[in-house]
Amino acid sequence: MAREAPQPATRSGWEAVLDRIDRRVIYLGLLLFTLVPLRFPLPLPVYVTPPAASLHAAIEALPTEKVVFVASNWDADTYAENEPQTIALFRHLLRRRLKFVLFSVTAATAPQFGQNALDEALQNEFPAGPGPDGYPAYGVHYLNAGYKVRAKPWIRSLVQDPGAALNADWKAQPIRSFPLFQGLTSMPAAASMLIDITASDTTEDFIPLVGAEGVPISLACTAVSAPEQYPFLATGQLKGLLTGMRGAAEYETLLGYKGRATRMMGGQSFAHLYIFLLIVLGNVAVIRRSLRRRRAS
Amino acid sequence: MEPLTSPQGIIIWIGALVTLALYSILYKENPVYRVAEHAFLGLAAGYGLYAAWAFVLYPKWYQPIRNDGVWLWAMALVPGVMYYTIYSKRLNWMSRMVMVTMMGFEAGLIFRTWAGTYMRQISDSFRPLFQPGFRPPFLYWDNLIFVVALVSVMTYFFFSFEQKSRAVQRTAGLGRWLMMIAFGAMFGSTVMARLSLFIGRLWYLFAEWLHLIPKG
Repeated sequence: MAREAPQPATRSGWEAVLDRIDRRVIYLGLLLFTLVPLRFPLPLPVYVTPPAASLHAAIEALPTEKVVFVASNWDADTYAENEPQTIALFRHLLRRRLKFVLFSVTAATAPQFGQNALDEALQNEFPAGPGPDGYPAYGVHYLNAGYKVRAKPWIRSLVQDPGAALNADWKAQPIRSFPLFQGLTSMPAAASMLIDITASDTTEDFIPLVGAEGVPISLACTAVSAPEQYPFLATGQLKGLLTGMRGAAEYETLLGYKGRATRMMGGQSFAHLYIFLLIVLGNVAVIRRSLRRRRAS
Repeated sequence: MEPLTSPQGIIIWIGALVTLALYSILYKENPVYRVAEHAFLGLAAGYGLYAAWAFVLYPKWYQPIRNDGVWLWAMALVPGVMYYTIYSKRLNWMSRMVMVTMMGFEAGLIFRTWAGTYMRQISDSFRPLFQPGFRPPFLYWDNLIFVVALVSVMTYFFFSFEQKSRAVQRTAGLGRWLMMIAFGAMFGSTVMARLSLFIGRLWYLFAEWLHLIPKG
């Protein structure tokens, strides 16, 4: 077993405290730094980054006669990031009175989460129910096509004939029986955009198989996977990008409301500040100790 | 606190107690955490089995055979069963036949997806470094940084000859530093994602369950 290097006798008080600190105290600190801003919100500004602004602009420019395909590919594990993104995007689609189809290819529980987000968006945008023109009506203006198994051949068939590929909605009703799918031929002809709200690597399939056929693609993903997506944004293979909870908060700002993501960002900012302080504190202690060792030797 | 009088209330209570059970690992290893972890894994495995039948096999395979009389779909059982011959020393050549066929299908699709994904990335990497007509400020700084980063990182990964030249060594060294900066940004993004999940659970506990944070 390797012997620990002898510690210099002269060690300042706070360094000794840092050495002995229990990890549970650090966890407790993180809990407090996160929880207090959630309970007592601070008016921290949310600035909108270009990827979120370009997604907003792309949706603003969509034609109303075409259909938006929304792939809701997230589950309980990334609820905090993807749920506010989904609500914000649905609210925008509803405000613009666009037609859209919701479907999922990664988790069997995803259509229910997507539907819950859609219900909240409907409640916020149309609290009194559909307007005088009947918008939004299920099967006419929007539809939940449920879970389909993710496979490249299936995505190819979705592009060629969405009605045949989706087959039935999430309550097993034949999809061709809904007015939304009457005359809907292929995605390049009928789809104005595919929005992938994902906790997975689904863009790896959508970009080459759907985007390459001329259907614009936008993405709302978790913060973990966002850095890998920026090259696609630079080439125009993605029209816009929402990054995790921050992206959702930016979109809420663009739509002019303060939702869960904006409120949670206070906790996020203070948690980052706490981690930053810990990193600085730890590094200062290590550097001081190393300098003292060098002097002693 | 959410009352236990409705199905929704019971669901929220179960969610809250399981969340606390899973976070108890932060204090120390304990049986409550183990029970919650095993229950979660068991539920996920069971639900996966149900989903495979309910969302795939039943509507796509069983129903067409039973309702529409498409008996040809029954033939799908043959290659399906051939996969399981992998457990027999005498018959495992059958499993290889299915696997090789599927690999052929997949290889074709992978080539298509690779080309669809990366050909555009490659063509986009050819960027102009100067303004057209050499107007001030002459250089496209964004593009210059991009090209320097691309060339230096590619040099770092060029292993076909020993990097003896000082110029090549320094370019590769710059590439290494640039990658480190990129990894740092990625790690920062990962920290943000993990904290988002933690905040989501706090929201659930303190807003949905205890009602200590106004949902608003």
